[in-house]
Formats: sequence, structure tokens, C-alpha cells
Amino acid sequence: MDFIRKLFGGSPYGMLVEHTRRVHDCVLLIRPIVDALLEEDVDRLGQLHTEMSRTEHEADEIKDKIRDTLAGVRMLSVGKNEMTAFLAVQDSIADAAEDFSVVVLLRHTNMHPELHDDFLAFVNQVISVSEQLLTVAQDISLLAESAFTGPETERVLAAIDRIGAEEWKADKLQRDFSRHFYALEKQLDPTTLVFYDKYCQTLSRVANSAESTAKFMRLLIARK
Amino acid sequence: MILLIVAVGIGLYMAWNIGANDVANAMGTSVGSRALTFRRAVILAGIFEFAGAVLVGSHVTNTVRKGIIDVNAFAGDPEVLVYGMMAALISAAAWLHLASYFGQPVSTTHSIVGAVFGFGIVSHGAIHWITMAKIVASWVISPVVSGALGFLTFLFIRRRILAAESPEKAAERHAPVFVFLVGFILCLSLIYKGLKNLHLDWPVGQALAVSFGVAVISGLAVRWYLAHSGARGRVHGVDGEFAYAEWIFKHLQIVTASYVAFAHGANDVANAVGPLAAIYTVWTTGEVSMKVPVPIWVLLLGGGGIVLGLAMFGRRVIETVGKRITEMTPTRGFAAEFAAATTVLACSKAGLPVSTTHALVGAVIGVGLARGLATLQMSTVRSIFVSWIATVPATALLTVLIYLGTLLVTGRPIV
Repeated sequence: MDFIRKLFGGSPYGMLVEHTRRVHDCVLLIRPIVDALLEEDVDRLGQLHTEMSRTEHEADEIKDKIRDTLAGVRMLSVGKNEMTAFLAVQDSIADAAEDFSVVVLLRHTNMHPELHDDFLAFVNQVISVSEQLLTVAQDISLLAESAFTGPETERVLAAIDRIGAEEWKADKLQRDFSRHFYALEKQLDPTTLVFYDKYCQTLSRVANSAESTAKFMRLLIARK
Repeated sequence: MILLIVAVGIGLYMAWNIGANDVANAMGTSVGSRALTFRRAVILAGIFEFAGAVLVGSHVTNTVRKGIIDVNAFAGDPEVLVYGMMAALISAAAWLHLASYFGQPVSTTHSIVGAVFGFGIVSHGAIHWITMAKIVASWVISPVVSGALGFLTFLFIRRRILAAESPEKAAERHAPVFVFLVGFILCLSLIYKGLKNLHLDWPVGQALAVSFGVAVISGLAVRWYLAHSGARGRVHGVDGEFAYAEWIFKHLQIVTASYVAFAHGANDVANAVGPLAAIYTVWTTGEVSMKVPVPIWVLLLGGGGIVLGLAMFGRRVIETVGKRITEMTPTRGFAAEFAAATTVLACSKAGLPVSTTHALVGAVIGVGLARGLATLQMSTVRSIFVSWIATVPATALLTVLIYLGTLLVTGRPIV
């Protein structure tokens, strides 16, 4: 009787890391999109948008696979609702990244040369927040082996706290960028200002969702 | 005589089946984690299953042969008891075979208890209802107790070893304690209320003292080995700071796997030879009085049958179970096996037939709740639950049919 082997539903943490990785792949595409935007390369923007849609769809497929797996198992020390809520928040990072690629394509909006540095600083910080989230997700998968205990757990919890600090930096850089483009409002048409604001909103959503995801990870780890 | 030979044959078949299928649950994880080769697992399982069956198996065997039904109700016609127990044996064996054929999980314990219960019902309520209630209660309580013990054991390992500043040192410090515990419980189960015909029925004070002494020696031997083996230097640094701790538990699992095999032999041998013991007693004395102890050859037959089944078919099953179960690291395996074996052995000493598999399932869930494991496959849990509900009525009904058929064939009145 092969009970003991058939009894396990497998660890969900490996699949969660796979989803995090795919979501981060969506976020990584933001930088080439921004480069194409700054170079006013419309064709390249179109290609990158297609790639972003495909990658976001792959992330969705992994999410659905995880949900199907969770449907047939009983989680033992972490609630299934917590797990699915975590998945939903993490998925919203990819959605926000895709929304950014859509907004960029909606209108040919030039980035004022004076705004390039601020904008790039903001974008790089947003990507950095997602990178740190991926690192934490990979660590969680290893923590499961030690049953979420020990000095390593404290290190990962500290890393999660740092994501909050990094997200705050992203917010600050977004405000700096906003203040700068509003300072140039007399040189820019109103629709351009609207689109700069849309860029800020979608990119901020990426960083905010990454921070919320990190908070869920804290819940998964810190449960006693 | 023919009936006895047939009963011996069916008892052997049941024992063989137990060895072929159930023992893998004891040894599978140790083979999977490469703590044991298959050959050594078979040898170890054989020794401990046999020892458990012979040395501690009499309590549950007594329950099956005379504890469930009121044997005095058959004083006027002992042959009826023989027919009934034969029917129970055939019914349990047939149900087991049918379930295996369809790949469904079935407890040999539930099969034989259901079968004997069915005979009791059809022979006009000659049932010890209080004993039956205790048995059914133990089927519910044993997985719960095993789960609680698994939870506490893994919680201890998690907090005192895995969470320690140095998991390596913590594992070295606690390993002798775990060996002490297993040794103490095992030794006590052997010599306190043990087999009278082997003079293993020692008074409680003496039994405690000797068990304590044996356990201390075992613990000290492990402590000495860990201090002198040089394993820490070899194992550390290969897979991280938990590698050595898991290595220690990998070897402790050999101890608990043997412990599970012992407990399993002690509890499950009755499933094969309980009715046989009743038949033999009537055949030799012509009476139903069951004051004589379980004949030792019956336990030897049962133990031998289990070892035979394990040796002949165990490889296939152990290899299947032993396929690397990634989540079942040695620390988890140890906690689950220790909990299940302790629960089953305690029930064996109390004469309660319980399912070792269900105790193991309960223990695994307990370990999971202590954050040792993440998820349970509900389809497996459901199939265990369904077989749990279905087996007793199925074997009871089969026994009724076979028994009534036997009465018809032998021209006895069906009253």
C-alpha cells in the first residue's frame, strides 16, 4: 500500500517560486519598453508589448495550474485562502506591468529630455523591488526544508522588511518625477501630462503590489 | 483436521499479504532516503516484524479469538465456533484479495474485526459489545493520538534542533535521548505483561528498571558513536547547515523503522492468526474455554508468514513507496514513525487491534500541522476514509454469507 507517498500533495512553494519568476519576467520587460519609449521606437514598442502579453499569459497559466493543484489538496499549516490571496496579489504585479505596456502603446508620447534621468531612476527602482521579491520567494522555498524556523528565517523576514523600504524609495522617486514634469507643464500639452501620470500610476502599482506580495510572504513564514 | 489445515493455509495467506503490502509503510521512507539498502530493509523488517508478532502479538490475538464474540455462547456446540472463525478468515482474505485486485486500500485489521463481528451478529448476538465499542473507539482515537504525538515530536525537533543556533550540535545532543526513548518503550513492551510462556511477564518495578538500563546503554552507545565517527566533518558543508542534522535523523529512522515494524508485527499478526488460534483451541481441547494462552506456534506461523510475504513481494512495494518523497526528510519521517509506532504498540499491549496505516496517516498529518509538511492529497485521504467505512460491513456480510453457506452444506440448522 503506497499510502505515504500518495498522501502528499507536494509542496506548493516550488510552484509559487515559478510564478514569481514569471511575474518578474514581466517586470524585466519594463526597462526595454522604457528604452524604446525614450528612443521613440514605435515598432520596437509593439514587439515588446506582444512579448509582455505572452509572458503575462504564461504567468496566468502557472497561476491556474497552482489553483488546480490547491483544489485537490488540503493545506496543513497555511490556509488555502491565504495561499490563493497571495497568488492574486502576486499576479497583480504582472497585470500592472502589462497595463504599462498597453498605456505606452495607446499614444505616441515623447518623454521630455529633462525628464529622462528621473524617469529612469523611478523605473529602475520599481524593477529592483520586484527583483528582491524574487530573491525572497526563492529563499522561502528553501526555508520549507527547515520547517520555517531558525536563523535563516529571521534573515528572510528582514529581507521582506527591506522590500517595504525599497518600495518607499520607489514612491519617492515617483513623486520626484511627478514634481519635475508638473514643473514643465507650460512646455507640455495636457494630454502628455495625463499620460505621464498614467505611467506613474501603472509603474507604482507594480511596486505596491510587490510590497503587498512580500507582506503575504511574511504571513506564510511567520505563522507558528 | 482438514478444517485446521485449511485455517492454517488461510492464516498463512493473510500473514503473507500483511508482509507483502503493509511492511513497506515501515521501511519505505528509510529506503527512499538511502538510510537502508533494500536488502538490509528486508532483513531488519523481517527480524522486527517476527519479534513483534511472537513476543507481543498475543494480546491482540487474544482479543480477536475471544474478545469480540462471547465464545461461551458456543459451549454446547464448539464446532459452530470453528465454522464461524473459518468463515471470518475466508471472508477477510477474500476481501483483501478483491481490494488489492482493484488497487483499493484496505486495512487488514478492519477486515478481520469486521469479519469476526459478522459471525457474532449472525450467531444471535454473541458479541462483547463493550469490547467492540472499545475497538471502534480505538480506530478513531489511535490516528488522533498518533497525530498529536507526531505534532509534538516534530514541534520539539523544529524548535530545539532545526531552530537552534547550531542544528548540528543540537541534533548530536538529542539523538541519544530519542534512542533512549525508543529503547525504553520497546524493552518495556517486551517484558511488562509479556509472553508468560517465555517468562517475559515481569513485575512492573523490575520491568521499568531493566528497560531503563537497556535504554540508557543504547543512548550512550549512540552518543559514543556520534562523538567518534567523524561524520560531522564529512557531512557538513555539502548541503548546508541542516545536512548533518538530517544525516543523524536518517540513521535514527533506521531505529524508528524497526520500531514501526515491531509494533506492526505485534498488532497485525492477530489479523492472520486470531481466528486460527480459536479454531486450534477448540480442535485440541474440544471446548470453547479460552483460558489457555495463545499457542506459541500460532504466533510463529503468523510471524513467519509476514516475513515470507515481505521477502517475496516486499521489494516491489518498498521500491514504490521508497521513491524519493522529497518532502519526507528524515526529521519528518522520524517524527511520524516514532509517533505511529508508539501508538500502535500501546494499543497492542492493551489488546486493541488498530490499523498501523491509519496511525501512520495520523502521525504524518500531525507532523504537517507542526509545519513539517505542506499539503495532503485529499483523494488519498478520501479513499482511506471510504475503505474505513466500507470494510467492516463488507467483511461482516461476506462472513454471514459464507457461514450460512457452511451450515447449509453441513446440514446444520440455520437458527
